[in-house]
Amino acid sequence: MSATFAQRLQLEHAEVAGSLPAAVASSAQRAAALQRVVETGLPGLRDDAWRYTNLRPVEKARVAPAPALDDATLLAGAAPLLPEPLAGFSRFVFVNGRFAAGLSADLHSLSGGTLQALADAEVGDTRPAGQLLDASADERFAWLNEAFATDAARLTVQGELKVELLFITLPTPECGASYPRLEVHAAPHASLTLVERHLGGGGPTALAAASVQVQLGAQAVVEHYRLQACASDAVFQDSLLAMLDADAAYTLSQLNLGGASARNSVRVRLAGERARLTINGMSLADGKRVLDTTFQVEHVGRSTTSQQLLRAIANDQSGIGFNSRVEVYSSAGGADSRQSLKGLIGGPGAEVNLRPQLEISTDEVKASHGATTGALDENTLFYLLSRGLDPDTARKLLEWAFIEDVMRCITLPDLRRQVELATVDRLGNAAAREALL
Amino acid sequence: MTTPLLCIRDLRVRIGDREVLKGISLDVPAGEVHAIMGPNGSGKSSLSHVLAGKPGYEVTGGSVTFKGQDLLALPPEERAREGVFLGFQYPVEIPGVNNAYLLKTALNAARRHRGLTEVDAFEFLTLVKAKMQLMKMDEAFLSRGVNEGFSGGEKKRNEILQMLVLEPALAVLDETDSGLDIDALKIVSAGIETLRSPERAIILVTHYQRLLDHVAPDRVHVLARGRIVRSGDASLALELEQRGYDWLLDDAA
Repeated sequence: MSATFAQRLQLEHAEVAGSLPAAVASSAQRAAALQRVVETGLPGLRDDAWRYTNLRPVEKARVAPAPALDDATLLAGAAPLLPEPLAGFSRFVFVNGRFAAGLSADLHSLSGGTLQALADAEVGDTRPAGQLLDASADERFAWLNEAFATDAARLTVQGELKVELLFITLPTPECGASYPRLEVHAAPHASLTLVERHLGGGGPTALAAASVQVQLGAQAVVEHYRLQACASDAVFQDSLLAMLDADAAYTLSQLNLGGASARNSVRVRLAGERARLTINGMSLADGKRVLDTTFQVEHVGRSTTSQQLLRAIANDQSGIGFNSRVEVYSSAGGADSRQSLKGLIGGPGAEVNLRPQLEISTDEVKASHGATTGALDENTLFYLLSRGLDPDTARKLLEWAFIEDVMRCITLPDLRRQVELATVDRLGNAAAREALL
Repeated sequence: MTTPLLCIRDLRVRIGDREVLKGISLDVPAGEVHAIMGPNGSGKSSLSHVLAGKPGYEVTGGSVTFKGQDLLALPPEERAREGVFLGFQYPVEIPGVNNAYLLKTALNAARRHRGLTEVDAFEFLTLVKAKMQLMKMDEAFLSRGVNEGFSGGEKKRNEILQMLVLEPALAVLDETDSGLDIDALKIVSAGIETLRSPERAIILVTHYQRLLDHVAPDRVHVLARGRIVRSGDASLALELEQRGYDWLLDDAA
């Protein structure tokens, strides 16, 4: 890292450190996290795991958190960004990394679990039992988040729960970053459906760096939808770390539609026996967007399974990276891992880079992976033209068909509808819109 | 004498360095069903593809006139809207695009082109359901992806259903009979027969006689090594069934 950026980090941290809530992270934790960022620095151009992440805006952005907005500005700014409510879900909203009570359901209204906004919690409020994963250099923006976070959502589930969390970044008169932070603890046998959205951003509040930790107890079932639909000039950094105990089942749908430059670093450890992971990933880019996603899956427990379905469509001059690394430890006999990565390149200047990687340290394992990137299949296109469809409509329909297998993994009908419409907008896909409506 | 609906003159076509059609001439008047038969690799599918405008074929000579206009000058979608329909030998699967949407879009594209009003959802469903009954297809089919998970026979039936909905002036059916069991063959044949009318023409590209037992052709042409080596009436197909193609291949050499 350039000395100047490191200095600026420390300087900006010193400016705000006194006002950062200790219940979110103690000052010692924050100082240690900051130190790790300073020592490790930002990834360089030669850092292979970050090749498709545009870090230049991060270097320039102010990293100290944006000051809190007054209620009227916050409500007016957030209102146009709020999606239609999802039936049966309780919605909670965080704006610029702070809980926005005025836009949220009552924190005490949940049954089956609790949601806390930690900035207002008592210091020393104990974290629920269960181990969280430590962020590594691969998830280094989680360190930055820990150093600067202004609030955190802690979701604890004992029974059955459906929650929607919106993390909105709004412009502020003074520049500053936004640090969405979420901890999910699903107790043994708990069942959670979580819809997490990242919205807004761009403008003077350039950087949003989210940090999410998910912990599943034995036999817990978590269905986690993550929709990144930030503004088209937003810079978004995101880390997700998940840990699964025995017989837990985690389904993660990572849907990336927005941002000028967005990076997700996801690492999931299948620690307990027979833990099951399903990842459905979709990145859609147009213009000059750069969307980079890394999934690391660690099979540690015996007979653990993971299945990944990743689809990317890059149009215009956009770039998409999908890096999917599966590691099967020597302890993970009987593991089963499947990776399917497909990229569709829709413009002469567009780029899709798919990298499935597999590292196996035991003989007793089933693993398969496939990755294909290319333009639309000419024969399929001709089929539609031969039925009288115009070439533009035919292409758009086939783009739609390309992501259908990820779309059908969205089992919540109203969410699926919202994602479909957002997708149609992103792809400029009038044909698909007509087909949907 | 009226101009035939389709008029092919000395058509020469290459794929890369290989000449696949070496001077084909063929007239297909409205109201007639023509069968094009021939051994594998004779150019039957190439001819079908060229008529529908599939990319990858280079026309090096000759002409194709359809309803009096230069068919080769039109892009594939305009040929379709003018009334040319290709029934694919291997229909593609398109998960995520449902059959109803494709059919309705295709039908309305053709109607717009002909200056007709578009059909609305209700009219479309009434129309398509009647045709589906004819093809003995389940209504659930409409909401499924195009050919997604269909058996070979179901795909071919779907091709014929599309043809019946679009009511083309010229249907070119490329080995629609291949992969069909006897019951499916009867259903498909009945579907093809429905389209037979004084204003339309049908070209059946086939390897075997058995489809022609159900859809009687007016003319039969044998294509071998890129040339039409023999033309005759329906009895030629029976002769081929008995004698095979070998006796004609010498003529093509």
